[in-house]
Amino acid sequence: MLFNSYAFIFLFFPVTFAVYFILNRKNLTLAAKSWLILASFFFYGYWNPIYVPLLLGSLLFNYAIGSTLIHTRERPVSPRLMLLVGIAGNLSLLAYFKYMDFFITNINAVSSLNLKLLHITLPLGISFFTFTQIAYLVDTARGTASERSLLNYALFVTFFPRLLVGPIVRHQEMMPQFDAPTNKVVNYKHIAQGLTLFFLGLFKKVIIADTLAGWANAGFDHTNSLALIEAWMTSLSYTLQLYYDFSGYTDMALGASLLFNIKLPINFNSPYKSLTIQEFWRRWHMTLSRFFRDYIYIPLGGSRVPERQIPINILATFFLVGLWHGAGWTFVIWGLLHGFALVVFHFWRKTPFRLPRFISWIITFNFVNAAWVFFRAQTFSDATRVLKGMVGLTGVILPEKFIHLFTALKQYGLQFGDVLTTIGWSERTFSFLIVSFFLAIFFKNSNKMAERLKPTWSAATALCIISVYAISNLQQVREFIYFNF
Amino acid sequence: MNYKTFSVIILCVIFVYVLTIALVNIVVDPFYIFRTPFLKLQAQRNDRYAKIEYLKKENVKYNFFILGSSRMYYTRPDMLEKYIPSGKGYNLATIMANVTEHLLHVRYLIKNGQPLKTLYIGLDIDFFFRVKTYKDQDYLLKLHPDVSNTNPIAFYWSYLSIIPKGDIKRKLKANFGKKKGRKIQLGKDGAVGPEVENRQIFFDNQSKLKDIIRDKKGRENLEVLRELVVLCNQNNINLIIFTTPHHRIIMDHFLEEEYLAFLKGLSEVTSFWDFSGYNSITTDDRNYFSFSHYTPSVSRLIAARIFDDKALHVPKDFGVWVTKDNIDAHLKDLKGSFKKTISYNKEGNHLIARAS
Repeated sequence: MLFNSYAFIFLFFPVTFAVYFILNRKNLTLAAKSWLILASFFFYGYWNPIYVPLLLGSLLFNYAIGSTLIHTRERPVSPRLMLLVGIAGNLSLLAYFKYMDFFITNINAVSSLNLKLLHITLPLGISFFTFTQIAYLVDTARGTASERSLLNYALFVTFFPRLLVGPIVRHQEMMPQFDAPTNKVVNYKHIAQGLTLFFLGLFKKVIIADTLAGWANAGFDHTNSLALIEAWMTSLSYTLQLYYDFSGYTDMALGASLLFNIKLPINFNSPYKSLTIQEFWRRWHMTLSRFFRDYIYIPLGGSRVPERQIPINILATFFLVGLWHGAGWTFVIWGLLHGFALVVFHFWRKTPFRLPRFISWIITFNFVNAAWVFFRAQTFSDATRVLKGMVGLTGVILPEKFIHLFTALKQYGLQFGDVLTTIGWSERTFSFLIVSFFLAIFFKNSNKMAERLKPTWSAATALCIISVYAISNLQQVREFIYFNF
Repeated sequence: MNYKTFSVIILCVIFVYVLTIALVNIVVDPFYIFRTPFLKLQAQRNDRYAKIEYLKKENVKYNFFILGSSRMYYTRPDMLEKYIPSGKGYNLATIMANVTEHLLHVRYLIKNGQPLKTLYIGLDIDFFFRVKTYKDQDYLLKLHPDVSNTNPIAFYWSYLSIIPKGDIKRKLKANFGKKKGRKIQLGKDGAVGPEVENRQIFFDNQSKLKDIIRDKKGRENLEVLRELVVLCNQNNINLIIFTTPHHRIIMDHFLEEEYLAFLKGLSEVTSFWDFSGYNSITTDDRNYFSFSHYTPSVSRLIAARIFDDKALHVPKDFGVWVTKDNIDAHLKDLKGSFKKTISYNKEGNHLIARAS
């Protein structure tokens, strides 16, 4: 089920919310938790029920491994072996459903086997619930997590606000909240903050991201005809679309969760304000960064290894970050580009040179923007065509109305003609892009707005306008980008 | 203000807003879905929904169905009944229908016990290349939920929750404006009357003709058509398929190679009657009441050619029976027949038809 749908907002959520608190009010805590799990399975299966058994199977498998790990702490049985079995099981599931066709394509490319592709539909949220459970197993083996109740474990994995696209939570930061007595009653401050977050997220998704999506898609569908301005508009549209889409979804997830008095970790902290690439990864998809840092980079030795080993650790981690996002080489290239940038930054930090803040921001933002081109493009050649356009190698075309101002530049190859219209853009694109860019760079992010919310008439009026405007555009439902990952 | 009041205000405003939109949609009913009695005259209707609702409510059994786009609206079932022994037909043509919808409709008819023996399908080559499925937001073109197998609650809710400003305005104009709308009553046969006969041709929306042929969509739709052919074979349904006679202006916008390749592809899927191309009907403006729609008399000529009715004079160059055995000869005849019969005005926007 989509957060940005009438079915979720006006039916599923109110019913789930009301029944949960009624049951809690009657001290039926177990029933309340069971209800939430049931609702979460319904939420998951609403889209395509055939993958509900997959989610259930994965949950039971990991619960069994987790329980064994808890017991092995008390008995002389190797927890390391159990952990390896658990991780291998999870990764096998992911390998089959997400990467099988990628493997086959690559085997076919380097051999004459010509194996048939399986065309497996990617089960929703598989990357997220698999990683959540891998983290749980590792934490259990380390002794920092422990869950003996199947009901609690099922709730931890399936809690619907974060089931499909995260945030990737740790057991110990979420589950104690369900047991806190104060969280079993309706909390109006949390409701006000939750509604604020949810509707800000909905607005970001429905009004901003979906509008930008039209232009980004048009650009990436016509990579052959992008001159300088079009190429920049295409890449910027996607850069902003991705941020508003994903952070919008996360806001809705955090908001919905807060209505149940459960605080999920924030996932975005104005990432495009970052001054360095390292800061970017501390602000972008923060729970995924944390996962890769704690469960891949640090176990590889992190920064506590000989200097020459650090770049290898960073690149290996970001190779996996790229691969996690999608079964394709363009994602791997994107991941490695970020890895290289972090390696460069690692060595730059050791020099005495420091750039002015504005220059740092320009470099960071432009690097991130250019790297997203590989992330979005269908093929490597599509990506290079957009990048060629961005550096002016496919020519520069200005709107006819500027012909009087720049006539002299015609001799240097500057052309005048229909700019942007060939791929469905209008002058509105510029203003919309600029406004959404400024909102991302200069405004407080939605988490801070919700955190500092004061229940005033002006805040209520603003939120009413935002929510009504977003709801009035709900009929044009688009999926979230991260559903593909 | 405290947090409780703040939350209640937000929730109330949202609730009242959604309720208001739903009420407006029920009262105005811009797509004629709810059949509410408040505004009786219609500016438009969703035919896909209306025709299936009619079949469901009346529960009449038909053994042949006419499928196609609005170009097939004027093909009357009673005109075909004389060619089909003990035939009782219904015209299930809908605006801009595509082959995916034909397949879904046929599946629905079989599933719902219609004793389907014959299907009479007019294929539009331009739509064949243009669309596979329509977007959910095309409210005039949404399939009946029983046909598309979607949740009926979601279907009706989609019509309650939208704000189709233009459509609401049109409906209000139809009821309160100077130019009155129509009081829609679907005929028992699903066809539209012959009032367009002898109407002078008008040339509207020709800018939409740019880039008519896109190869990918055509190939996808041929695969869907193949499924339809298999379904008909499995259910012993006599499938009569023909390409509609496109006005020369539409023909002018086809890319010759793509068009011929499409005919070749079609012949590999099924045998068919080809009425497309430049012939004495398609180059005569009198046979069209818009550049996109032919007159009912052309529908009669098509049927006469298909069912070999000697009582009507059908021009010799109108309609060729095409099979995979004679397709190459047919393409040879068509090759090189393309001639531009149109010109553009000064702005290059509107097409002006030359006298034929």
